[in-house]
Amino acid sequence: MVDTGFLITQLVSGLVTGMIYFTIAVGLSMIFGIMGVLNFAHGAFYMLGAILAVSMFSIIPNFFVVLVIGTIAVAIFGAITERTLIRQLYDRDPIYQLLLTFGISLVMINAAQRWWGTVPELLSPPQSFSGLLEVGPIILPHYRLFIIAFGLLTAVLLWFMLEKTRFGILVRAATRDDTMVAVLGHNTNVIFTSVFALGAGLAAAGGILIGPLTGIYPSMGMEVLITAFVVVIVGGLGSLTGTFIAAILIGEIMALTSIWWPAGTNIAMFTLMIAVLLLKPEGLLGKSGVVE
Amino acid sequence: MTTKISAALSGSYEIGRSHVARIAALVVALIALPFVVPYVELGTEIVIYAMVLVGLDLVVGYTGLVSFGHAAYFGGGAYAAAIFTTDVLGTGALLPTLAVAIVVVAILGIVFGYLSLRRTGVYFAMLTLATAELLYFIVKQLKTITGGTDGLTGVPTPELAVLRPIFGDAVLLEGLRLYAVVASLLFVGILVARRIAASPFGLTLMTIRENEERAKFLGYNTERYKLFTFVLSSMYAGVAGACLALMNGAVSLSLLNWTLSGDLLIMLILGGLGTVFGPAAGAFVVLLMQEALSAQYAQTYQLYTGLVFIFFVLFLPKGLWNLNRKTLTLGRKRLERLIQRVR
Repeated sequence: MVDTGFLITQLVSGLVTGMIYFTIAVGLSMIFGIMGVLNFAHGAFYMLGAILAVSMFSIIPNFFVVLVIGTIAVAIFGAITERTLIRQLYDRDPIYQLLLTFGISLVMINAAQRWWGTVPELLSPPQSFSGLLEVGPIILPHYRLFIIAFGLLTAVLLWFMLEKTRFGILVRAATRDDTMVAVLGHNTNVIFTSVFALGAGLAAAGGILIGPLTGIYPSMGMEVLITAFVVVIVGGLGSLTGTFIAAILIGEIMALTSIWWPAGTNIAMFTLMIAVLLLKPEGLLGKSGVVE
Repeated sequence: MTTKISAALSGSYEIGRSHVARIAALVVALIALPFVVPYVELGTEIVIYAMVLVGLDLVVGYTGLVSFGHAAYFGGGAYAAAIFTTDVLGTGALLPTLAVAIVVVAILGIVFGYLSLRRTGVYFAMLTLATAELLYFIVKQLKTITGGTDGLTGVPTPELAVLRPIFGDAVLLEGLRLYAVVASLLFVGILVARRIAASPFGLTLMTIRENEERAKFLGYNTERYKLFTFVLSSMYAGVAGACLALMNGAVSLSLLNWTLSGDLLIMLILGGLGTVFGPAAGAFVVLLMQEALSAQYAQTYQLYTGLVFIFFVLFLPKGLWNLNRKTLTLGRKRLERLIQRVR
C-alpha cells in the first residue's frame, strides 16, 4: 500500500495543479459561454504571462510585482486581440473564430520561440513563501499553499463578481442570450472585450504562478490547452462552480494516476471528456439547453 | 424513408467541357509537380497531404463538419502500414499494405465518427479532438508495438509485388516512380471525390451543411450521410498516411498529434473549402512555403504560416481556389472595416 504521507502530498499537489487549471479554464469557459468562441489562443496567453514575468524578473526581481504587471499586461493584450481580430468574425460561422484563435496561438508561440528562445527557464518563487510546512510526515511547501489560497480567492472573487455586481449580472445574461442583452440597451461589445481580457489575464496569472514549479518555455501553452478544454467540457458551460470542481477533479486525477498508472493520466482524462460529451454534454454543473 | 447511397451517386451535375478541362489541367499539374519542386520527395509529400485534404474537404467543406481529429486517421494509417510491413509482411508490398491501412482506418473512422457525430458544431469538433488525443496516448502507451515516443523505423521500401509476373521481380518504388504511383492514387481520389460532390449525394451533403434540420424534414437520413462521408474521408487520410510511412521509412507520434489536425485545417482553409481541387492547391502552397521558409527560419516558419492563415481567415475565408472578383472585393471591404475600427 502507498505511504499515507506520500499520498496526502500527492493529493495536495493535485489540488495545486487543479488551481492552476482553474485559472486557465475559468476564462476559457466564460469566453466560450458568452461569445461561443473556443479560444485556442488561451494557452498562448498562459505562456505569454509566464514569459513576460520571467523576462521582467531581471529588471524587477519581485515575484508579486511581476505577477500583477504580467496579468494586467496580458489582459490588455487580450483586449486588443479581441477588439481587432476576433470581433471581425462574430457574424460568421463560429468555426472561423476557432480557427482564427488557433492561428493566433501558432503565431504567438512561434514568435516567442523566435524572439525569446526555447530553453526552459525557472521563475524564482517569492522569498516570503520559500519555506516548508511540516505536518507529521507530510511536507507542504509554502508556495504551493499560496497557490491553493490564490485559486480559492480567485474563485470567491469571481463568484462575488458574477452574483453580486451589475457587471456580473450582465455577464450571466449575455451567456444566455447576448442579443437580448444588446436589445435591452447594454453595450455587449464592452462586455465581450472585458470578459476576454479577464480570461486572458487569469490565464497569464496561472502561467506566472506555475513558473517556479515547472519550467517556462513557449510550447507550454499548447500542452495545457487541451487539458483546459477537458476541464471546461467536464465542468460545464456557464458554471463557475462546475469549472472549479472539474479543475480540482482533473488535478487530482492527474496526481493519483501518476502514482498507480502514470501513462494512463491522459487516457483517463480523454475518456472522461468523451464520456461527459456523450452522456452529459452540458457538463457536471452546466445548464442544459445550451448544447445542441 | 431510406436513401440508397448507390442511387444517389448515379446522377451527375458536371458540366461537360469545363470538367474535362479541369481534369486535364490536374493531370498536367501532377506531371509537372516533381520537376517544379526542389526534390521529388517534397512533391510526393505534397501529393500525400493533398490526398488527406481532398477527403477532409468532403467532411468540412461540403458537409460543414469541422473535424479537429483527422490526424488520428493520417497517423493511424501510417502506423498501420509501418507495423504491418515491419512485423507481418516483411516487405513493402504496396497494395496489401494500403488495404490493411484502409481497413484499420475505416474501423477507427466508424467508431470515432459514430461517437463524435452524436453531437454537432463545436462539440463535434471537441469530440473529434478528444478521440484523436485518446488514440495518440494509447499509441504512445503501447511501446512494444508502436515504439512509443521513439516511433518506428525500418519500414521497408514500397514495392509493387503485383507486377512481378511482368518484370520478374517486385518493382521498387522510390523517387519519381513512387511519386508517379502516389500521384495516380491522388488523381483517382480526386475523381472519386468530384464525382461524389457533383452527385445528388454531394448536394445532400451541402444541404446538411446549410440546414440539417430541413434536410431531415425532407426525409434524408442525415446521420448516415454524415457517417459515410466521415468514414470515407478517414480512408483518404489512411491511404495518405500509409504512403507517407512507406516513403519516409519511419513513423513517429507527431503524425497523431492534434497540431497536425490543426495544420490540415489551415491548409484546407488556405486552399479553399468545398472545391476538392482547392485543398490540393492549399497543400501545395503551404508545404512549398514551409520548405522555402524553413531554410531561413528553421524553427519558426510556422510563424509566417500562422500569419498568412490569420490573414486568410479574416479576409479571404473562401481560400485561394475561390479567389475571384467577388471574394477579393469582400476581402478588401473587410480590411477597410478593420482599419476603420482600429482607428
